[in-house]
Amino acid sequence: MNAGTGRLHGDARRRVDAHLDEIEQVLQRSGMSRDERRNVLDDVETQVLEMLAARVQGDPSPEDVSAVIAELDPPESYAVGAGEPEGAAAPPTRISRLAVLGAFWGSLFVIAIVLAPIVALRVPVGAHPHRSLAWWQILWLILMVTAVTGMFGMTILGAVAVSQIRDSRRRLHGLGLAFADAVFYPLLALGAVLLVLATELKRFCFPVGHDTTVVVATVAIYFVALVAWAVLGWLFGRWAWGVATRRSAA
Amino acid sequence: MMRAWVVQLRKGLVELCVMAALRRGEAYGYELLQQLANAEGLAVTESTVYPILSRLTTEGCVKVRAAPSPAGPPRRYYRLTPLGIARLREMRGCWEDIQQSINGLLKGGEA
Repeated sequence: MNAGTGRLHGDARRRVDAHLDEIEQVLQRSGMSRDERRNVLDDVETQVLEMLAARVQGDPSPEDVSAVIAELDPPESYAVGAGEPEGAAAPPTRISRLAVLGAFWGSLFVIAIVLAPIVALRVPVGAHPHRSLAWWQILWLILMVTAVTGMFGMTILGAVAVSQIRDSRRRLHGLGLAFADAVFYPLLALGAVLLVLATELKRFCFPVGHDTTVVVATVAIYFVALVAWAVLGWLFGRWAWGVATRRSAA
Repeated sequence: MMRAWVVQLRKGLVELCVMAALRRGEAYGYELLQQLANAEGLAVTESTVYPILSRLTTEGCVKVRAAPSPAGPPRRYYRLTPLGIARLREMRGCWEDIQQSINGLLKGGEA
């Protein structure tokens, strides 16, 4: 038999098979599907036989096969990421837990606000102030404390998460969530401050009266406050995002 | 350090080179490998090219047909599908943009 028939026998065949088996193991460890592995192995086998046919007249000996295989890439070079410098493979990534925790903590405040009217309705009118607390009131207290501290917690955790993501060398992701954690309540606080200022301005300018002029002026003041909030919020957000992503890129 | 950079650079370009070579016409794996091996500086080998061909086949960018070979088992001839041609066009556009930008930067550095 010779390579020209496409068949090898004995030791020559076994050496080719052993090489193909080693490649298949590497490909399998790399997560390649069975079909893709078969395609690769077919191509490698064809190459081996083509190389043998080009250099050997008659039956290729096991040594001929070994000589050809020695010219090929070693099986381990089929591993995904082979040839890359050490440590260059993409590291496993996960979302920042602090960013997720911050978002959860901060959202408790919103939940508390939504639940507040329901709880208020459940408080019996004229209830004795010294009566022992019901279970749901204890839960409500815990929720309130957690929710109020959540405003600060979310902001702090968000800022820390941004910093961690920045320093993680792409091992952590979720920068957008962390950033939202960090700026959500500061932006809300900015809105609250502007609302208070607008209210004080209205009181200062129009302490009394409900005629059309006063109503129009009041609407105008609040509208300006709203626009100011949008503009200042956008500028602040843009600046903060620039800082976060610049640091992240660095 | 320099070697690592060259390896990374080549690695990113092999897929484009494989598809560009197939754009010239149908070829079997070893033939394609020889074509690419002749391209100076690319230094591609079978452990890079065959897995890419296999993946491109799975993705539908390349179609395979087997044909008898005088040298051994049937050869597997690869050719680009319309999807592959479209992807090659996109990759080529991207490559030309990058090349232009880098050339601009390098020329600016020489000035």
